Amino acid sequence: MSVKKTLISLKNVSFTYNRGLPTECAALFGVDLDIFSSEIITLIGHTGSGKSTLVQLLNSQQTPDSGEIKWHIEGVCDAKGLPVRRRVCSAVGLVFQYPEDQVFEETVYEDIAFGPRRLGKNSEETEKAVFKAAELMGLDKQILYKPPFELSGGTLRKVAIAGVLAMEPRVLVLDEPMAGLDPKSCDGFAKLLLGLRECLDLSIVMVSHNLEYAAALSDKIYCMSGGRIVLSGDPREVFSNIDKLEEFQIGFLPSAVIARDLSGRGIKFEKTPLTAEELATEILKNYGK
Amino acid sequence: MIDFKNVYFRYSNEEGSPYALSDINLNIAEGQLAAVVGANGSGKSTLARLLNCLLAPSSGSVTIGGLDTSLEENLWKIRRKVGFVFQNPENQIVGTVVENDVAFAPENLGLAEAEIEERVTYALEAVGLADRREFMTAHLSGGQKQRLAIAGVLAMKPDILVLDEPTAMLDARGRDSIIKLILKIKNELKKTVVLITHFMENALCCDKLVCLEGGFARFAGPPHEFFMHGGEHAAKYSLRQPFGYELINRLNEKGFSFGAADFMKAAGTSELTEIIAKALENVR
Amino acid sequence: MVNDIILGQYMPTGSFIHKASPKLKIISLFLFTFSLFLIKDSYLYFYFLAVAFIILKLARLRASYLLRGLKPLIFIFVFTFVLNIMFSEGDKLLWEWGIIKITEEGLLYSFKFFMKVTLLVIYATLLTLTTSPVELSDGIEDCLRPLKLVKFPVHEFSLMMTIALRFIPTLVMEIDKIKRAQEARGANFSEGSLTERAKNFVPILIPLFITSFKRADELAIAMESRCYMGGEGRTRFRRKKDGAADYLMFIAVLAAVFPALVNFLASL
Repeated sequence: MSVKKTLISLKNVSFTYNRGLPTECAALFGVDLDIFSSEIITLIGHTGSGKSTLVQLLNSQQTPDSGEIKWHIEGVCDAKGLPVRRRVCSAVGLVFQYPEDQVFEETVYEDIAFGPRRLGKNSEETEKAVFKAAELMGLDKQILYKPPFELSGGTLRKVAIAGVLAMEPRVLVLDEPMAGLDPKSCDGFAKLLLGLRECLDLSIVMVSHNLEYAAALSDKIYCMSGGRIVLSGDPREVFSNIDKLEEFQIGFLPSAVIARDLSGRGIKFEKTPLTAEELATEILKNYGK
Repeated sequence: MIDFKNVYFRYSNEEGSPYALSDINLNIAEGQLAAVVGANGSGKSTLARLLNCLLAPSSGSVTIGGLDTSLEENLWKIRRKVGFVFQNPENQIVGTVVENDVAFAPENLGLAEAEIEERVTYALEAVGLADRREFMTAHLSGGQKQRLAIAGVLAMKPDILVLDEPTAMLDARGRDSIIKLILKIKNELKKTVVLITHFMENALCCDKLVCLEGGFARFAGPPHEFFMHGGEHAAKYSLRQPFGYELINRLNEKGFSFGAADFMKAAGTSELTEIIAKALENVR
Repeated sequence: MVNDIILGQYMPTGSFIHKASPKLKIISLFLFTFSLFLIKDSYLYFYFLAVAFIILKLARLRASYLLRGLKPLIFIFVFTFVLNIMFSEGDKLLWEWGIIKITEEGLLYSFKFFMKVTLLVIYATLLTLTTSPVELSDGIEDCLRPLKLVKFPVHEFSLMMTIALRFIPTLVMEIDKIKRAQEARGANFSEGSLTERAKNFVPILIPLFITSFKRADELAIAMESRCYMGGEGRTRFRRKKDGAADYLMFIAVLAAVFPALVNFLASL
C-alpha cells in the first residue's frame, strides 16, 4: 500500500464574493481540508453551502481572503516556492457541471488536444496525451475524428472529461459529474472513476448530492453547510451520524436510518450498512440464516 | 382519459428506419397518476410528446379526452387540455417577472384581463409561489423555476399534466418539493398526471407504472407488482429498484417471505422498520 | 452579481415619474433627444441639464446613480471630444502642430457635440432608472403599435425583446461558466495581442451559440405547449391605461422642450 501524501492542504480558509461591493457575500468560513494522494473525496451540501466556491479555490481560479492553501504537487511552485496559477490549473483538473456544454472544436481530437496544446506540448506529446485520455474514458479511436455534435450527451461528457485528463492532472475535481445521467450511466461512470484512481494514482474530489454514490465511492466525505464543514469522516462515520445530517438538512441513507431504528429494538449491527444488501446481511447475521 | 391504440411511431418515414415506439396499447384513467419508466432511449419522451400533439403517431391512434391527436382541428384544443412540463426549468420560462410568466398561457388563449388575473393567482397559489409573484424569474432557484413552469401550465386549467423528467436537473431538495407538488396536484386538484422519470422512488407513489423497453410497453400495472419478483423486472429493463423494494427482495432471497401487502406498504424508512421488526419477532 | 448591473439600472422609488405611462416616457425621451439637435445657442444645453436635474429630483433619485450610468462612457466622451477638437475645420486658428489644428470653431463644435451626447445619455438613463424592463418593453410595444398598419410585426418584435431581456442573466451566467471551464483547460483571456485575444473568444462563443440554439429550440416547444399561436387574438395581462396624471406629465414635457423649438425657429 502506497504512502499517503498530502497533495493540497487548506487551513482556515475563508472567502467572500465581491469583497467591498454592495453585493458582498460570504461563502466560506474557516475551512480546513486535506487532500491526499489516491483518495476519493466527496463534498456534500446544498446549493449555497460553499461547495462550488471551495472547488474554485482548489484550482486557484479564486484566491482565499484569509487562511492559506498549499499545493504540495511537483512542478506547481516557482523558484521562490510560490504557486504559479497556470501550473496549478493543470495540476488540479476541474470539470464543471454539464461539461459537454463547453466542447467547441471541430473534431473530438482537437477538443481534447486543446488543454495539452495550451500547456505548450508539441504535436507528438499532444497526440500521446489525447490517445491516453480517450482510452481512459473508454472512447473508441474512431470517435476521435468525428465532430463532437454528432455524439450523444453521455459520450460528449466523456469527451469533455478526457479534455481535462489530457493535461495529466494529479487531482481531478468534478462538480456534479453524474447530473442528468440515468442510473445505468451513473453506474458506468462510478466504475470509470474507480478505474481512473487505479490507473493514474489520481485523487478525485467530487461535489455531489447523490448520497448513494458518495457512500459507495468515497474514502472520505465532507458535509458542508453555510460555508463551513459541519461533518466529515469515512462514509460509515458520516452516514451513521443521522442527527447531524438532519440538523443540517443534508439528507440520509435509508439503510442507516433503518439500522438505527432496528438497533433500538434490540437488533445488533456490526457496522452501519450503506446499501440495502448490507442492511439485509446485517439483519440476518442476528439470526444465523 | 388517455388512450393509445396500436400506436407505432418513428421519426423518419423512410423505408427501414427504426420505430421509436411499437405496438403501444395503453389506457390511463381520469385522475390517475401514471409513471412511465425505462432506460435511456426506451421511448419515454417520445410517448410523452404524443400526448400534446408535439408528435403524431405514424400509425394507430392516440385519444385525449375523446379527441384524436392526429386531427389538425384538435391541435389547440388538446394543447389546452394537456399541460406539458419539460426537464430544463430554465428553457421554459418566458417572462422576466414571475406573474408575467404565468400569464403567458392565458394571454395566448385570449382571455379577458380579469380572468387572466384570477388564473395567475390560482396557479401561483397551487404551486406555493404566491408570495413571490413580483420576483424576477432570474432570481429563483432551480426547484422554484420548475414550480413556476408548473404554474405556467396550470394557468391553462388543463385536465392532464405531463411532466418529462421534471426533477432530473434539480438537487435533492428541489426533487422532493416537486414530487410533493405533483401529488398535491393529483390529489387536491384532481388532475390526471403522467410522470416520466428515472427516479424509481418517484414511481412508487403512482397508480399505474408503465415500463418501456426499446419502444415496447413491457409492463403496465400497479408498481408493487412490477418490483415484487426479486427485482428481476427491474434488472431486465436496466432500472434500479426503489430502496424499500430492494431491501424486501433481498430479505426474501435470504429466507424471509414478505408478500404483496408488505411491498405495498414499503414506502418510507419508518414503514420498512415496522415491517422488518414484525417479521423478526415472528422468527423469534 | 453581474446581472444586477445590467438590468438593475432600474431604481424603484415609487415616485410619480416611476408610475407614469412607459409609452409617454419613451415619447418624451424622443422629444428631448430631438430638441437637443434643434438647439442653436449653447446656453440651452445648460437649460436642459437643469431640466434633467429637476426630473432626477422629482423621481427621488440620487445624482450618484446617474453618474454611475455615465461612468462606462467617460472614455468615449473624452475620446470624441479630443478627436473633434483636433480635426474639425475652422477659421480662427488657436494652435497648430502638424496635421492637428485647433480652431475656435472646432472648440465650440466639440463642446456642443460633447454636451449633446452627454445629455442624450443622461435622459436615456433617466428613462431606464425610472422604468422597469417589463414596462419598457410594454412601452415600446405601445409606441410601435401604429406600425401594425404597415404590417410591421409589432407583437413579435415585442416578444423578442421580452425574451431577450429575460435571458440576459441566464446568458451572463452561461458565459461565466464557459469562461471558467475553458480557463480550467488553460485558456487565457487576459494576455496576448488584440488578434490573439479575439481568437481566444472562440472557445466561449461557439459553446455559447450552440447552447443558445438548443435553448431557443426548447423554449419554442415550451411556448407552443402553452398554446402560443402567434400574435393574433392575444390579450395582455395588466394593461395600464394612460390617465390624467400621465397626460399632465406629457404636457409638462412639451412645455419643457418648447424653448428649444423657439430657439430653432428664431435662428432661421
